[in-house]
Amino acid sequence: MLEILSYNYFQNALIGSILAGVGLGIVGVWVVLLRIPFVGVAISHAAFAGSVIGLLLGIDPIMMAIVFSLLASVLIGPIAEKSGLEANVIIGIIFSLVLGVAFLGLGLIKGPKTEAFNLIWGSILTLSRRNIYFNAGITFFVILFVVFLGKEIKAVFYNREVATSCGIPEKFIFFSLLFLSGFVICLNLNTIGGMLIFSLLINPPSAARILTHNLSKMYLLSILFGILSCLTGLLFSYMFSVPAGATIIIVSSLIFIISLALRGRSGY
Amino acid sequence: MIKIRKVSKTFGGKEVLSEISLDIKKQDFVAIIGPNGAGKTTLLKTINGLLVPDKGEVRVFDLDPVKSGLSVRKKIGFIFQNELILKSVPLSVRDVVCVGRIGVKGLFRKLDGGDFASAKKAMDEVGIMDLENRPAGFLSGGEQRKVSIARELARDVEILLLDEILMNLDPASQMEINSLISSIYKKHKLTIVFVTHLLRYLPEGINRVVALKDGKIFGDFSPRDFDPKDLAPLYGINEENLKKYVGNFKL
Repeated sequence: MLEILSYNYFQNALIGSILAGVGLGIVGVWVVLLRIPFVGVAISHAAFAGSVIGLLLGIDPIMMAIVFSLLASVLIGPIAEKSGLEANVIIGIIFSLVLGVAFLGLGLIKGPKTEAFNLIWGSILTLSRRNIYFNAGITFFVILFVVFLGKEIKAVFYNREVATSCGIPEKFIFFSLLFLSGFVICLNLNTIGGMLIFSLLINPPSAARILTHNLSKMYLLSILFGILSCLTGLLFSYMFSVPAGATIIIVSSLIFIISLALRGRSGY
Repeated sequence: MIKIRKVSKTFGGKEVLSEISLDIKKQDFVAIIGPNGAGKTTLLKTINGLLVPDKGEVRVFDLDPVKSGLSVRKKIGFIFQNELILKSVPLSVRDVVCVGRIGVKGLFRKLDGGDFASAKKAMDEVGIMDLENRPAGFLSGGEQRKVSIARELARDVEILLLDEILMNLDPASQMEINSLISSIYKKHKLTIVFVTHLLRYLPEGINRVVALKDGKIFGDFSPRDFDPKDLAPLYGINEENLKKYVGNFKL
């Protein structure tokens, strides 16, 4: 059993799983508390559209996926601000647009489309060292962001208008949260895929929220649940030869259900 | 302290403020009244720079609150209409009161003992020390209003803008919040602008009533020359109906 740890691909998968648990655990808290859960779906489909366009134009599909998903995450905040509509509505508009672009591109591609679909389904066991370095970099940056601007983030969660009136640069914080969420989601698409990332983004922080009324504890529990889901998924995938992504999602959903049952006993 | 000169603001083709001019002096305790859509909230938001006037000029501490932005806003407290602490947000009462200290502290600096002491003092003054560790989203409407007041007190502001803070409260809570605002005014010598619909429940200490109608100043009354009868045309109702609504109140 331990022999598997000596294989490079499994080491990468293990580190990738932990990084996904930490990164998505943190941005998941943001997404849940800002009430924009579908940002994960919109960004992953923007990445899919980007990779399809990349294949069509003969440009590196992964690079194009990153460009498209970052563009989507950068645009949500300012468009919501300009239009006066909720960020959720803009996320819906961007989602439908990138889906349209992706399907159009798929119709035009003559050759194989595997690389584009990999982003939708994910393949944790094929993670490269390059993926790991990128993920580690962005995860470290997100941790620093929470450490140094945690109090401002807390104010934005509480009430954006009050935050502004209290002299807090609310727009900078809100836009940064959206952008960093997009970045983390995009870089983790290879790990568990666009279709499944939604659960890993929502289940761990939601389970954590059920168990605590303290924001710091919510971050820690969310990270813990994220790592637990990823590692358990990976282990089951190895032991029973089942898809890792799907197992990760089932484990994270079970953690949510167990948290709900535990909350039922503790009141509030 | 607050100078408003010929300020106009239009939303969706409707002029909400129309060439309004108003001076509010240091330690004034002003009630702003008027029917729905008169421009009361818009006026408050132009004072702290949350809204940019289309025409005219607003000066607070001799500065433009839009251009000076955060530095002016740090001295202006604002409690919004229908401020609600969502149950989904995991913040305690202490966390929410400390939000008032965050802008004062500035970016990249952690709140320290001095900030927590200010928050505690504010909670004590408002009478919510026993709620300190409770999840803020689970409080009653009256308790949440007190938390908002403590948040602004913790900021050591010089001006307090209160936008219909009695809305959706039962009469006992309305009276309690009013007496709290009056005692804060007396103790801290703040400049307070108090927007309200509840003419029967004006807090003690108000030294001026400014009535707005259709984005214009309808009347600017001092307690001595104020007659509730003047308000009948403001709300477009006859004196008898007005009396039923406001009773025989006097400033």
